[in-house]
Amino acid sequence: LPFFARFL
Amino acid sequence: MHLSRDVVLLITHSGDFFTIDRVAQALSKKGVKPIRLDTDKFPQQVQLVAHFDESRSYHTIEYGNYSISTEQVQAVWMRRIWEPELSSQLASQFREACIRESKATLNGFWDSLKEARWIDDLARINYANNKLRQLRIASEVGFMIPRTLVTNKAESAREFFHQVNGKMVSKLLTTLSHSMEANSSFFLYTSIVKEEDLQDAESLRYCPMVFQEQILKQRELRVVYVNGNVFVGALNADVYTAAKVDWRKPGVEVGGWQHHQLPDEIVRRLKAFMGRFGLLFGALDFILTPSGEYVFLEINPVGEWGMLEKDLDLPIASAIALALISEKAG
Repeated sequence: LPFFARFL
Repeated sequence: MHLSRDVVLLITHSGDFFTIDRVAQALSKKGVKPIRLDTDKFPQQVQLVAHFDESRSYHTIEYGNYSISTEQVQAVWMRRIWEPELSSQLASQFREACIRESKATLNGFWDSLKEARWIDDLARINYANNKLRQLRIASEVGFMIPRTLVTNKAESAREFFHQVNGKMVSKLLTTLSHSMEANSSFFLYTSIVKEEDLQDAESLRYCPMVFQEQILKQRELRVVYVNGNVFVGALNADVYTAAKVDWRKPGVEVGGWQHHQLPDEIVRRLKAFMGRFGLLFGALDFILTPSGEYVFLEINPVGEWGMLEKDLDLPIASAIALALISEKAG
């Protein structure tokens, strides 16, 4: 997963 | 045949409401003919004809109960362009090509409106949509901006986290506007980054992110600029505790919009900023810090303002209509 996925 | 040049074309989409109607009403009151073009209805309902020969060219738009020549258009309000909405009956293997060709046709068709005044010119909107450029120019005209890092390098993200004393937020330059699963959509708002998040920072190699120092808020401002006029709505940060990172997130109770007066110096910088982009319209976000400083966050060249007109009775639609028919605009 890209790093931004954790903030979705 | 001479055609009267009394049409203002409103480029939008079929789901648009309120703001589009307010601008149309304001234009009608000023004696011109607002015509709405829902871009997502091309090519299935909107019909375009672009005809060229050696001596001249002419272009027509037919949609609903109207048919106009682009020669009749004196001004264009560039609100939104959406992708074509194509029938589910269309064979799936041709869908992508139909969408691509339709978008290219629409994009080419705008050239027939080059004599009209645009709010705003598409090339200027695209130029202004570069958020890194926004930060540079904001800084150059004297706005305070958050310390910002854009990177795909994990080590830099971790270093920056310590430089801003662990008060860091993250966001993307673009929006996740399309569903990532069939029955749900994911959105990414400005989010607080914790130190444990950065244990996974190596995954920045797949996609960069924007990191900014978290700015303390007294008020969050939506500033709407229309051809030299400035309209401001403010949200008090203590009302929307859950939104202290991003008030735009659904489900967040933001309290009421309030009037706010910008200092003359901030207005002067704002006009310089808009001048650098050549834009007549913009929706800008600022933070007013507890110590009274105004911090620029971003500009959306086609941003929202309906909530300010409705809640604060700010005459934004009228200002847009006036700018569209003003000789000075464009």
